[in-house]
Amino acid sequence: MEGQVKIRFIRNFTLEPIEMWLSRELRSSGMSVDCEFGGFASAANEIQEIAREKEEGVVTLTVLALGLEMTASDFGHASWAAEAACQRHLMLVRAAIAGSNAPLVINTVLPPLFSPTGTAVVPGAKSQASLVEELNTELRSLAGMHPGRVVLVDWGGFARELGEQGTYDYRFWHTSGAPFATAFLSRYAGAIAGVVRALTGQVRKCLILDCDNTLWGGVVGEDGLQGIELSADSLPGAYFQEFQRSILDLHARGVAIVLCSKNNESDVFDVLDNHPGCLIRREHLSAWRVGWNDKARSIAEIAVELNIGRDALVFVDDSPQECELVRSTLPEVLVIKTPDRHAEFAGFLERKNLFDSLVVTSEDLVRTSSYRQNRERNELSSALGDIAEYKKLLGTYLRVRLAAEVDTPRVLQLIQRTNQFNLTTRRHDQATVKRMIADPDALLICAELGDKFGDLGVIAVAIVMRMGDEAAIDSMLMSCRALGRDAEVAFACAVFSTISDLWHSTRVSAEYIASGKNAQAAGFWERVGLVRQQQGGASANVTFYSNENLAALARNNMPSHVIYMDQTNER
Amino acid sequence: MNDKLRKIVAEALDVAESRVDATTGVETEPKWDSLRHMNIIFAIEDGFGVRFNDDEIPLLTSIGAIEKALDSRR
Repeated sequence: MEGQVKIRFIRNFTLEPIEMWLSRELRSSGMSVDCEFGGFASAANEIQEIAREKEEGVVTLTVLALGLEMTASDFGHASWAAEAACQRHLMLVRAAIAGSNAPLVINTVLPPLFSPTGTAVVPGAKSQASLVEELNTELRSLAGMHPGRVVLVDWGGFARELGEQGTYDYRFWHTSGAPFATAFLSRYAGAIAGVVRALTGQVRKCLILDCDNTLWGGVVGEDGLQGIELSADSLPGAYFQEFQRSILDLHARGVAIVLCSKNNESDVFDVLDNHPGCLIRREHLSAWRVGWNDKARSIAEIAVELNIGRDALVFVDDSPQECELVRSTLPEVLVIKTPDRHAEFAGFLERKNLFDSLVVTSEDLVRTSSYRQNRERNELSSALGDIAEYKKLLGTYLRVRLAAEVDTPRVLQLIQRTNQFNLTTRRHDQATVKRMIADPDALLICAELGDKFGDLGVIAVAIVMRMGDEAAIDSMLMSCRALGRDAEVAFACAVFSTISDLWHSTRVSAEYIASGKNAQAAGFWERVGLVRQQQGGASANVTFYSNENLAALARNNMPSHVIYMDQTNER
Repeated sequence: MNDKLRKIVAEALDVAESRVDATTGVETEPKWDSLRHMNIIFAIEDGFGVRFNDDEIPLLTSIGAIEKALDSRR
């Protein structure tokens, strides 16, 4: 199902060519796209229809593509009723948001390029530009009120980036009702593709960077610390420093930053620790491979070390040979060669919408430090040698509670992003999650994990449905950053114990549905004491159950080194 | 005909590449409607880095005409 996405456009202008760009964008993520375009003049009716449709699961995403350009033939001229047009626009968007609980993409609108009064200000009257500006402010706050569901794509941002030439194409405006140029459509498609990837869990999570001529100009091993180009007051140093700033933005929103360079480790860290122009420091790194090994092998190792799928990695290098090697050896990794001209470094990662998520949660902001903590944990582990002793020393605690309304963004994010330790990979949407929180026959359990190195925040979610005396586990998933400390076993025990406490169920059932990415979880239910249900033939969907006393099952399997903090009664 | 052109036109028309040849045009290809025409123009401009004038676009309704227009820009 992840392979095929259906995007429905409700629009008021000709937008069909965007399908080509969307297909190209999503093909590289292994998805094929089917676009459905609503009628030209029927946007208002289709918005009314949204509420009546029960198409859940059929349409992946609805895009409300509404501009002001085509709503009136005198758009931007003196006679244009700008205020009425803006009000009507806002009403349509509000209706679309209210009409459904499904993910929706909206957009800011573009003001006319020219004022009909030229530079003159008309006393007492609001200009068309300021009316459009007010509308955009309203649209932004509407999206802000529905985080994770309503995504605002900023047409204004594209227009600033592309200018008039890249935004409008007057050749098809009057003949075909198509105001926008291909550059604009291509950026718009990129942003929509980013939303689709976020919704379907195909998010890139880690940026792996070469060093020489990628993070700085020159070769540190030859040019030395003083010789490399990385200073704000010279070129090309300033370009590289600006690029480092973009990387730090990604770091701040939770993308793991990793170095993979053929160099002496001491030379590279000399730059990170001591170069005044180097903004990326040792503490920003989640991992590194600096040495003389084959980069494809190093990158494969990084995926294992960080416990991230290869399809969540992005590799950036200036060498066409290294890029080709990684591309051909590890086809799942997205490989990007740096621009040939230094001036094109500005914004080259931002333009690609690679790391888009629908919301930024507090967990995102600490995610990268958690990769670093994992490294420190591993160092402690190898220093100690004795695994049991190490586990005790860590002081791992698991805080388990029932999800409340405020947890929805993070719970939804985990449901959308988690691939590896995800027993059923059911990508429930926001409406379903909210319904489950309120449903007395559903338990939505979430857990926070921490230890002496740090607190990871909410990292696990389980959904349990009550069917008489039976509790059926619909979903169980845990962020890969939390794995490897028996936290997943502790969480399953906590779920059993919660079911027993709150529902007194006599039987529990659970499933494993193979998704192509969750093979490591295949034997999990048996590890925590459930029994595999006999079924004929091979199937990707296996059912497990237990008729044992659930409280005992939880007690017997709970890892002794994990401190279980039960807060499920505190709501 | 030019292989790159065949690929681009096939993608823009959403048909198999084998269905596109030197004789393809509005007259012979039912999927080549006005919307697909815009797709084709956009895709060729993007792929070949050219820009057609507004008065020639309505005339570029066959592979032959498009090849001629591309040749004149080389």
